[in-house]
Amino acid sequence: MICGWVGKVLRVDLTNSKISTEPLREDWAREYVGGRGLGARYYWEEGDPKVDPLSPENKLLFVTGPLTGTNASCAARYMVITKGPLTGAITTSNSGGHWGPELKFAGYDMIILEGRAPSPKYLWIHNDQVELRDAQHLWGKGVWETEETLRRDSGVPDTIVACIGQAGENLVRYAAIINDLHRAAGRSGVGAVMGSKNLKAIAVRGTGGVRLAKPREFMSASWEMKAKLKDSAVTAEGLATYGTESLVNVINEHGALPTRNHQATVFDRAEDISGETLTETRLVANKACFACTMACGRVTSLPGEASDKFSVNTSPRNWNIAGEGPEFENAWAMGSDCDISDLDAIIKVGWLCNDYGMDPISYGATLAAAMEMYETGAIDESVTGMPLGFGNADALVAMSEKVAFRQGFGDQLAEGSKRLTARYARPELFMGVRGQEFPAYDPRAVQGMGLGYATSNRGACHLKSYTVSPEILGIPEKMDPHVSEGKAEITKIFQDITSAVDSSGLCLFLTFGVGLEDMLPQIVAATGVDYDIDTLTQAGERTWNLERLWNERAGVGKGHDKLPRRLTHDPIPGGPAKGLTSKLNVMLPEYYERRGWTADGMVTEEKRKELGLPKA
Amino acid sequence: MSKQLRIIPEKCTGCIQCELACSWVQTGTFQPARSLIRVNIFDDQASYAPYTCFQCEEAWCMNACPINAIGISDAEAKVITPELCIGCGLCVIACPYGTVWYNPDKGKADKCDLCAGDPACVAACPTGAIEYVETESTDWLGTWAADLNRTRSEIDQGEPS
Amino acid sequence: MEVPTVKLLGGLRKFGGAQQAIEGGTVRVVLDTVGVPNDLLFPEGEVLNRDIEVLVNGRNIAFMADLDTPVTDEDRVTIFLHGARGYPGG
Repeated sequence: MICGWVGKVLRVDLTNSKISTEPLREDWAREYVGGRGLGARYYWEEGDPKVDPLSPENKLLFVTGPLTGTNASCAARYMVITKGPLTGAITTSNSGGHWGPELKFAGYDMIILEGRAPSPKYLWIHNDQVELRDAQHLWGKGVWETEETLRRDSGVPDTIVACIGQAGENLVRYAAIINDLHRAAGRSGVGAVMGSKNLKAIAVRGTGGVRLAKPREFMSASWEMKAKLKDSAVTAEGLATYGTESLVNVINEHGALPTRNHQATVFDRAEDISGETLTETRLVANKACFACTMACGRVTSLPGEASDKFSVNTSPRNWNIAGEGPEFENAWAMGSDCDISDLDAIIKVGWLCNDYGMDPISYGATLAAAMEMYETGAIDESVTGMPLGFGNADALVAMSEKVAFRQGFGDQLAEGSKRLTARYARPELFMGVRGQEFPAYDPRAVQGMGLGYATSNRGACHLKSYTVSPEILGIPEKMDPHVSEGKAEITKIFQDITSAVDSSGLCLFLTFGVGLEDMLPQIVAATGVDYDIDTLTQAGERTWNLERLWNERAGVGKGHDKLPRRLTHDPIPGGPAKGLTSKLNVMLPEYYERRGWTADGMVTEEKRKELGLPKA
Repeated sequence: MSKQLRIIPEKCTGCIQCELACSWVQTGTFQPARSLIRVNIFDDQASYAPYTCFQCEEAWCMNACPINAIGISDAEAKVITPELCIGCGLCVIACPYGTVWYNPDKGKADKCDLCAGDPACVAACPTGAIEYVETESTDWLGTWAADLNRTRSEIDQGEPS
Repeated sequence: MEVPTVKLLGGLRKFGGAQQAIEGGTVRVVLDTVGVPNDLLFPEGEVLNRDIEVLVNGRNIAFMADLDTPVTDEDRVTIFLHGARGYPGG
């Protein structure tokens, strides 16, 4: 057995309450490294691309990486893989916290969930003891109460819980799976898949350990990477002080912060929702995930009057103590995209999203699309039940509850902006790719991100090829964000490398302090497999192509690499990127060529053989 | 005067690198369940508190041990001699701080021995929340208690409590 | 006298207000007077710290005339440490 792994897969047939274990496919672990890649390989074998994502026939995979649970910095990640109800594409939602490591300590590398439980259940894992238990008493409860209840009632205080809130139960198409109260496998609706299976939670306690192939080498490699991370005083300061929210001002100053459903890219009140303001006014502490030496998590508090002014108080929890966030994406989607600058409202809805278990990016962006529909007369108050113009912070708070419970207009918002805009014959107002809403970088002002979004296998996503790094932050070297030259090449490279990082169990956030070459020695020492940079990157490429092939079978592959007309035809009206449109039509053919795909974006037989990909 | 662990909970981010480092020393794997330093995560208070044996002078564990398997090391730590330990668990019960553990894998008790004067948890902590320092008194819990009403920045600036 | 608007972000704020007027000319002049310590801006002498980005009207000076990029009182200069290193997006 290669090391880093426990070597065991847990399979749970929810329909028949049948629980079994099987050996991990070592050959696949080798070829795909782990996490995202390994999950894609299993899902390729077992996941029917034609199924309704919310049917019992869809499978739901929780997969760790070979480094998950080690002391490598940020070795906290697990990946959720399934067919996304928002997108109909293969989705790969990643989360940190302590859940992934705990699963490994309990003795499992991954879980495959099948079928649908006849009544609400939760999965209890305490080392070898694995049971499906009744969850009737938890159904209808939010994430925070569910987690506390399970922890208290289990009699095992160190239990780590991943669960869904009301949004997942009510099949909100962008429902998330939340672990450790605030960490989310956030996008594409993985929480709705879990809800459709009548599975409320997976509670884990493990007391085992993670074995390494070359322990001494591993320790020195992990020390080396930590030293590098720590070395950059800048990194350390930025991380500890401002978290991801520091990007609000940075992106806005570049004129790349989408505003009013991407009608503009400069937000005049960005300062109000910035990391600087958050830190000065609402930050309580930094919080780290398992083994993280950066601690970008933001614990925030709202003083009584700041919290009480909003109408939603469904949670029994005392909101005044502390919640987490917002992160940058959260602050953008609910902030500038909705033309809202009330930081307290954004913080509060961020907490509510965590408690209801739903993705704040898709929620905020869907609301922004609805606001534009409202302002342009496509819908009115008789539909929405309340004024819904841009800038309405009360509506932002109130609608979050209605979405989670699918009440009133919330039922329509819960379908995501693609379905919402189509319903009222305004499909051009959907701002996303493959049914998934854009994250916080306007593809006209940051050209590489446009190509990355359009070709992202799980729908628009900033975490699959974060070219903001060279285009805005100058890492590893500066690239002009306004031009399309060179972006096809960098996008392919970033996608492949990111797939490899996502497969290792490490956090992608590391890539801004260190490179894949710094992670490599740890992966080698942990697994005992002699990867080098080329084979590791190729494993990432293999993963990317396999996801693409899967999407092709699901009918969301080629022909879906598109951006909304607003981004390719409507020039940015003002600010630093004034006059620009996305040059996707220039970048895409070059991208296909560099991928070795056909001119219309199909994985070729040659490429399939080169990468050793399975046949359909 | 002797060197003691001093824990500054305000600096802790809850990453449990200390647990991983300790479990590495104990087991050669990463196994937080066998760590002899633990981080309590109080999410609703935004508070993370590492705790371990602070080598108290009373040494209830030492007094409780029926076969004198616990002694004092060169680093002035109370240490269990595994060859002698019979795994009766009296020290685990006796410790008022809950920092002596029974290890079911070995059938013996385990506690912090300050890694013979070079504590792995201190080296592993990325935020400097665990220090190994000369102290006048072994009562760092008392210092900690005195710190409770101070802000983190005051502590960082080293203002006297 | 040319007085552009200078905006410091994040960790650089401690060296000046969030927004301040400063005597212009070129980026070099702005950096000389902005209050950010020289050894942070130019740790190795002439070359700007690679962890620091300077924008004039939202464009990185790297794509213009670098430190010689002219600045007038109409302009807006943004200076930030890319503290975002280590944490992309969210």
